[in-house]
Amino acid sequence: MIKQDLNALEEKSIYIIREAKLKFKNIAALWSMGKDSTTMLALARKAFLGKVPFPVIHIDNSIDFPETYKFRQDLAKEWNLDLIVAQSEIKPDLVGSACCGKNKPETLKKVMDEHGFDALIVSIRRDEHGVRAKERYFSERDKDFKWDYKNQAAELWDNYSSKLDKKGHIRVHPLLDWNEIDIWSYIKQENIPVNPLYFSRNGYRYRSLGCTHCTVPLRSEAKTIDDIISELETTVDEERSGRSMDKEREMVMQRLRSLGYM
Amino acid sequence: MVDNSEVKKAADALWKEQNEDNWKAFAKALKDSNAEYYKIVFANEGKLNRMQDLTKSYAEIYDAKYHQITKIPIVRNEGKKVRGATIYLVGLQVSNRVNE
Repeated sequence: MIKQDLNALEEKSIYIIREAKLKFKNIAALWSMGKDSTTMLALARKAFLGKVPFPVIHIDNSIDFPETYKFRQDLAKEWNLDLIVAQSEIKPDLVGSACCGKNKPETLKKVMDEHGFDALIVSIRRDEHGVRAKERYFSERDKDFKWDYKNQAAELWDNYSSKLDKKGHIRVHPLLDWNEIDIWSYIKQENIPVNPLYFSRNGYRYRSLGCTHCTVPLRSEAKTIDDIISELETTVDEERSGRSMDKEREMVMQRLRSLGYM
Repeated sequence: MVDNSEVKKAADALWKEQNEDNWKAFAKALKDSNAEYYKIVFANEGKLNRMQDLTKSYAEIYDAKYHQITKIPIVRNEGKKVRGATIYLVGLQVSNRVNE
């Protein structure tokens, strides 16, 4: 993993967030309380003089880690976030990709309809997964949240398409160019608070956070951000190797994302 | 010395009946106890294929020396709706220990 120029990454992400705020009437951001979406909120605060100027949505299926709930509670208060908690019910088809492919997008759809959001900031990165690498900075979803990844506009000279199918929405991805080491380096540089689950206890830590039932910790002794960065410089494991849904079937992430998963 | 009998009693009440009052009583008792860590144990070795696999899952609660205090269900039934209950463990830390 190569460390990139943090100033250049920050500048581009702030530009994208400001463009999105300017181009859309009613924009919101998804916040999973993970390192990426929290970094995105820190960038939004920097872009708008210390205040996140849009609502922040947490799709809560009610079995997240207790540390995640505590982190949500504390940071929402500290950063004065306009937090929308969209509670999803646990349904019989709860398992792995069925949960992420159906329960979460359905809840998101409901909350977006209720509030009439026309754009959604999502903190995915290209290096996380091959399918996420196919994304654009501004990516259109139709009214059913479907993503036509074979038919996307080119984004030349920092011009982003904000044209919208009447009932669809645009997903805005300000962190596409970042990699995992960049995120951790920026967290260190800006002193951004992070979920304590990322740090090792009893020889294990969580490298990518999801719900309790589909996320497992990985062996690690990384107790500080510096330890994590050193670990990432030599690891050969994938970032999402602790996420069960990614392992179910080949192309499962492509299928999930085309159906509206974040 | 902190007495953990209240949190044990509240957990027993939850296994008998999961209603809002019992959950609130448990959350209060947990704050007053010396619980430090939790470990979630999923039924069916974590391969959640059916709803029963989830409703049979539970969280074990430990003190600072990793002595188990009690265990509670991690799914609550609200009439016909089923919801998770991990939010009631806020304040505890994941144990990450493989063999307690």
